[in-house]
Amino acid sequence: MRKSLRNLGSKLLTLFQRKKPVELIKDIQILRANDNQTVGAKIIRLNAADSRERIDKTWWNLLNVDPQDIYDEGDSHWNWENLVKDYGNLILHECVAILSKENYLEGSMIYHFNAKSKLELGKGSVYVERVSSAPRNRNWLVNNPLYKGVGTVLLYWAVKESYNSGLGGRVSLESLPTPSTVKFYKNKGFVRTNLTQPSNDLVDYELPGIAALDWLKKEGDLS
Amino acid sequence: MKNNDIFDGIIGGRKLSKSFIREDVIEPNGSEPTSETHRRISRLIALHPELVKFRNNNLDGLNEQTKEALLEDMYEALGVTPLRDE
Repeated sequence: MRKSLRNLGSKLLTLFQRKKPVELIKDIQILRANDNQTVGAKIIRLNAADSRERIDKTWWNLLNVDPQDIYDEGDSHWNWENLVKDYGNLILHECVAILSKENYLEGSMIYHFNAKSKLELGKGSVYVERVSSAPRNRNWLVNNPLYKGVGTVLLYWAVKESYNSGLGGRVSLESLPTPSTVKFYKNKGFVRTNLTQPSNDLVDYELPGIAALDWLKKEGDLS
Repeated sequence: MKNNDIFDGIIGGRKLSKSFIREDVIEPNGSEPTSETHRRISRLIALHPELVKFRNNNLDGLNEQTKEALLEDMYEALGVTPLRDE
């Protein structure tokens, strides 16, 4: 009896948490993979309940994917609910996601506003701690990804946030230097900094202010 | 979006090293923001103590129009030109 009451309480709590309204930050565009058309989506602020239900319990329940392939993905063990609980309500930290028209979270990101720039001494930077595209959008994992460039959209969002916070668009991050990421970072003007202690093959990158302004201008957001 | 612009990888997993956290920034202790404008003001106050002299984190008494005017003033002080969709 006590156990069933506890289960009922837990279910009610989950229902209550799931009904918390989505906190919209901005309307954006993302690229649909099958026809290369841009479609509307939203940047939302992630809360713990959505992270648990719509990322941790959803993203990896893919059909026709070998469990070993999932295990090999660097982020399959990340617990977004706990990450969001750590940073959720703090002004200098943000947890965001892209919500598509299918009401699915297509990617998520955690970033911080209180980082030092590694390239421009005495200045601040946004530090991107984590970015993930939803597994269903990874073309190396599934045959027909739904959207492409979700990671680009999230990184560009971090640049805008840095600019809007008076940090000049500077964005720093640590990433595995795979051929495709190296090509992307170089194309966008990221510079390798390598100032932190070397560990598990991650490489430090920073987008300098001048490259950030170029990106903002190229996208037509800054004249 | 060109192919070179497409990124769907995974970034990070490592917390920001303590040596790269700014010492001059203090997490605001005012009430939870009631709007994105409110959130931005609180953030600017925390991030730019040298330029933004307005030090009151509690914006509860300000209406949304006043907050927007305050944000505009802060942007001007910081030399931030509003982006196209702002």
